[in-house]
Amino acid sequence: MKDNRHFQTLCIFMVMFLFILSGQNLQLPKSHLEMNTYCMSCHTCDNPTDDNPCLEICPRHGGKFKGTHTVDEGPKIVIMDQLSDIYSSVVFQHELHAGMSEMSGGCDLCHHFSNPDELVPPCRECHKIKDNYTNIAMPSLKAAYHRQCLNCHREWSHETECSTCHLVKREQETISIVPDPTDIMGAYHPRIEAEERYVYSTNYPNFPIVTFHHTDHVDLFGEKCVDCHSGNSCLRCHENGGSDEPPHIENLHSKQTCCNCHTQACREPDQCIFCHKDHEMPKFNHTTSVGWDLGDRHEDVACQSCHGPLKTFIIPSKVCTNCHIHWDLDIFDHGTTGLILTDDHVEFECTECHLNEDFSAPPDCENCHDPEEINYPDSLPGYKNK
Amino acid sequence: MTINRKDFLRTVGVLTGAASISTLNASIQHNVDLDRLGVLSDLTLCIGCRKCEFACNKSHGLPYESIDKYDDPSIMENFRRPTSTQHTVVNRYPEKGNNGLPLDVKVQCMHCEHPACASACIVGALQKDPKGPVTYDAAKCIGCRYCMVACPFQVPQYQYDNALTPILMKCDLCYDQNIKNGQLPSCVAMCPREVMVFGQRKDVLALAHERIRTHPDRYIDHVYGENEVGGTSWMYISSEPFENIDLPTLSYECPSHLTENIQHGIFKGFSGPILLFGLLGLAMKLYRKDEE
Repeated sequence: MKDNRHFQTLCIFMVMFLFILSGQNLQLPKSHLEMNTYCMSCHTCDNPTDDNPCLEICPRHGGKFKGTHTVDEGPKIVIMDQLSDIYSSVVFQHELHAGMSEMSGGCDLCHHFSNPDELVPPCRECHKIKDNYTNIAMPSLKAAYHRQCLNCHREWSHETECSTCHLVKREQETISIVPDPTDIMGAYHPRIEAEERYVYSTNYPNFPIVTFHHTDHVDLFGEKCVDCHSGNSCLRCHENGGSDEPPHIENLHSKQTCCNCHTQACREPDQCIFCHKDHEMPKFNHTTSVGWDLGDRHEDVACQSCHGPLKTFIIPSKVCTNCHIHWDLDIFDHGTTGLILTDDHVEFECTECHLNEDFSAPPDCENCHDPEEINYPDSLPGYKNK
Repeated sequence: MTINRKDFLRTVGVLTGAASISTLNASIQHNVDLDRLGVLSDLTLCIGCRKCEFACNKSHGLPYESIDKYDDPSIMENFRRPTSTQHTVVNRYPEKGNNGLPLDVKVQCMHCEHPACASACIVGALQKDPKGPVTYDAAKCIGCRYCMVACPFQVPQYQYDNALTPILMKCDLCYDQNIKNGQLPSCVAMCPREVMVFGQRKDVLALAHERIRTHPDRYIDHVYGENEVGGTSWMYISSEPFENIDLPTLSYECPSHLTENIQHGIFKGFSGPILLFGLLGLAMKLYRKDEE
């Protein structure tokens, strides 16, 4: 009787032991037993079952596709602005990079998890902007971008400076944060060094020489690159691997490029001499070219402020109040012109000295003073404040 | 019975020694949580941009430069340690990385599981928090700097330039300012390539082994900090043996184990003093008997 009870206890323990053993085997598939795997690398949920394995859509191992897409299929430019915080958004030249990666592995050099039959998903579809660590095995979007870009940049060009791709956001950022997609790069492209001026000889009779001042057009008139260099992709300039050779641009040096803006000069026959001269033209100078000295006060004013948009160029009158519409005697401080009037002169109407509101002409003192004794500029109606 | 001074001292010495050896096997009890935190630093990903230094100094109110100044790698030509104004620094080891690239190593407090600094601290200013970080309370600190001697990684730094109110400076894992608010440590959050992964220590450790298993060509099979000095909260995996990148080869035993056992053993249940005064009493009794 006693032996029997011992045997029963032993049996129960044996069954329990086997149960525990088999239970452990059921917990993980056989293929997983040798792995020291972090579950979240493959599974999205905590307790995957056979029915619901909740596997990641893009497993790191396998499922790679071999480049069946062409460079043209992808976007030309990808603007990465989801994360811009300290730095401005990054303008990624996708077409350029796709062209380069064709030589070394195709699309899956970067798009490592893409399904061969479907469209290539963007990075952000799998790599999320991470605010907390739910899945520490999956790099966040920021890390994914930086790992991907810097793997190549670091190896090939040994460049790891942030400024290669980023601009630091300044407190008083003058450049618009959103890049102007109509400009040639759709981005803040580093300044392309160009000649200050280009001189062309044409077959126009008597006036064959055309002088094009590149710097004036860019800096002074505020033309964007794309206004002349239109229809060019990144590769057109960078096809030589960023060599020093000048950009290869067809039909640039043609009349049509100029006529896009100088519509009036191109339309009317007597206006040809606007560009065509018998000698090289000096740099644009408002005093000599127009006959109106900008002086210190107007030197930094943008052309468009007075002349309106460049294409519908208007010539304003020389009367100050044409632009300075808010000026009248009560609020006008003559000191802004550089001359502070004495108390007895402040009271006068502007036109008493500046005849016919012509402020560019010397003032007339004869109304009150004997020209033998007092005349401008030997005697001043005040004192200079600079 | 006669007993001279030499005999007496010898007897006391033997008895004390026996008492302490008998207590050596007692294990140190540390009050750490199972879900304590940890950081894994994957050195193969680091590019030495030093943005962690920027983020650390900025968030701790320490002096920092404008962010683009940190792009300059020339400062990494010399080996650096954390200073009283920098809790973390990045050192560069040229051509030690994969493909002949430099290997960059961020150093900071390792937040040991059994911190020697906290063991050496006689006032309890340094503590191992159950959640993982080794924290410092300047209000308790008396400035003895035993922690600086004790630390096997030479991390704690003292404000020698502060004459009146110097305190100890070391990485606090941004415990109070970030972690308690559910945020990442500043350096981890700033890192552009997620070189550092922050989470529960057991999880990041599993991730470390997973990476080594899946990329045996990229890593050496060693998680630095898994067992060193009894384990650390900050761990590294690397392509280069750690002794080549100035991470010292250390015993898997925590350095404070022996000293703590002796100290704690002797004073357990007030046994040390009782033994001492008991012996003194015995000696007195013996002397009295002789006199009689």
